Amino acid sequence: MSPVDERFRILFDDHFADLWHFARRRCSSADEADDVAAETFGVAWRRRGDLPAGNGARLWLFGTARMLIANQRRSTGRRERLHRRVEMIAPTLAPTPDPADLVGERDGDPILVALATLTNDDRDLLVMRAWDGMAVTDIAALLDVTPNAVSVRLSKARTRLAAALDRTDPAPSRTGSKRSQDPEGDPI
Amino acid sequence: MTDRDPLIEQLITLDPVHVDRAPEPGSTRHAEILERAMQKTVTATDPSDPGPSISPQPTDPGDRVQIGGRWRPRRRSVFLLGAVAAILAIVAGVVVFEPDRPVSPAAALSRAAENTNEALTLRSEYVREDGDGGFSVVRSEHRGGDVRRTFSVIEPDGSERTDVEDDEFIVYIGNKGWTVNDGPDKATIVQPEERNAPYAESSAAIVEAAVSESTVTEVGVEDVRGVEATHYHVRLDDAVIRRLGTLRPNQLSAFELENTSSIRSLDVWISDGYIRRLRVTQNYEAPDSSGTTVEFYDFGADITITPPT
Repeated sequence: MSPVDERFRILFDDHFADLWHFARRRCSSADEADDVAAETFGVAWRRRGDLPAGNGARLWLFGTARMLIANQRRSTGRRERLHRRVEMIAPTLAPTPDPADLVGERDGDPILVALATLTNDDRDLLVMRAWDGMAVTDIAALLDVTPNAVSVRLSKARTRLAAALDRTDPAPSRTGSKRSQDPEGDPI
Repeated sequence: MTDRDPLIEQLITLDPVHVDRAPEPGSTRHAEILERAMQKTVTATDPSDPGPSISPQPTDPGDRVQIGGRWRPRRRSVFLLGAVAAILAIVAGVVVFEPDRPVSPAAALSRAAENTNEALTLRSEYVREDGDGGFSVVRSEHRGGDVRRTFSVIEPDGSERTDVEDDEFIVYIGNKGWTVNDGPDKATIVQPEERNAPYAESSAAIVEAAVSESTVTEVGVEDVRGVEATHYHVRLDDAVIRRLGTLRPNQLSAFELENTSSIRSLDVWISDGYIRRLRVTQNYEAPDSSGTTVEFYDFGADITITPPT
């Protein structure tokens, strides 16, 4: 095995689980996540001679997976299925978790229903932060914006999620909106 | 936003991968995915690839060795670096204790970086060349870690207009940030690592990482905002690029240096023991005119940062 091929194997071993989880959060099934992971690493294999190193490789893999999922959605016309399954604002086709998948899998958990009503941009940010556990600086690099902008957008997305949750499930114990105030009254 | 946010914590518990994990290494599915990936035999320059453009970070396989499946710095290189550092320390000691010898450029820059980072108050102006003859400008006032910022754009014809960025914080006090639309009582919690580092800290980190006795040359004395400042040019080599790549992401992002391999040159102007100007050029989108410059002034000025009204 050549050194370049060996480095690809190391890349695969180091990032497979993260990449698969990243894909799974944006797909409706484990099979689809398998496909996205295989395709993403397939692109990495073809371009193995000039992949970035370190955290740059991880972000490159995530970026590639996002594009592949977006392409897949465009080709399969999932927007129609989404309209059938949930009556909510139809998102544009973007590489975020599909609202239909979110609601379908957990049988309408209020916070997922609320998440599904947000725009793709808001949902994408919240999922990258909460589920992918990405640092603000990594999200900024992936979206090609400043970390400051990510922080502001995250804050606004979180506020909109709380508002959506209040609308879908106004019980105080579920909304979290009242609990989101720090002792000085600042939204966190 | 912080991870102690109860809403985010609630969301974390609903992560689909809590119940649906990635195939384990050694499993049939894991092996199949790897096999499918490695069956892709199109050339590396296939333009149909959907992947984002690749900005390779500087890597030198010769400097790393595989240990337990991961790449680690080659130990011999570490020892060599240690020896070089020890020699430099001895040399630096000689320089310090010989009163007749001038401070070396590297030592002067290092000291200026430290002083600038430690200045309690100062003002800064950050300018990014937009490639079309125009500039984006961020003017800041600093007191400790607190910052007040204004944004503007200078058009190619020289006219300047305020650029209201409603998704940027204009004031930071402690770990709170305010955008232009926020009232004094509406702050957002922003941890330091979640925002660009202050320019003084970023500049100091960049200078500290880049300068050494072998990379710095004195260009001459020039005027920076009415102050005579000594201009130094930092020669960039692979080692410098590598060191810059080790800085914290929010220090690099302050200068839009996420891809350190794109840096083409680095120049520093210092006066009275402080950095007065730092200019970084890189080739990202507009090779002819891409660069960022930050200037520091009003060190020790009476600056108070308050929430926006």
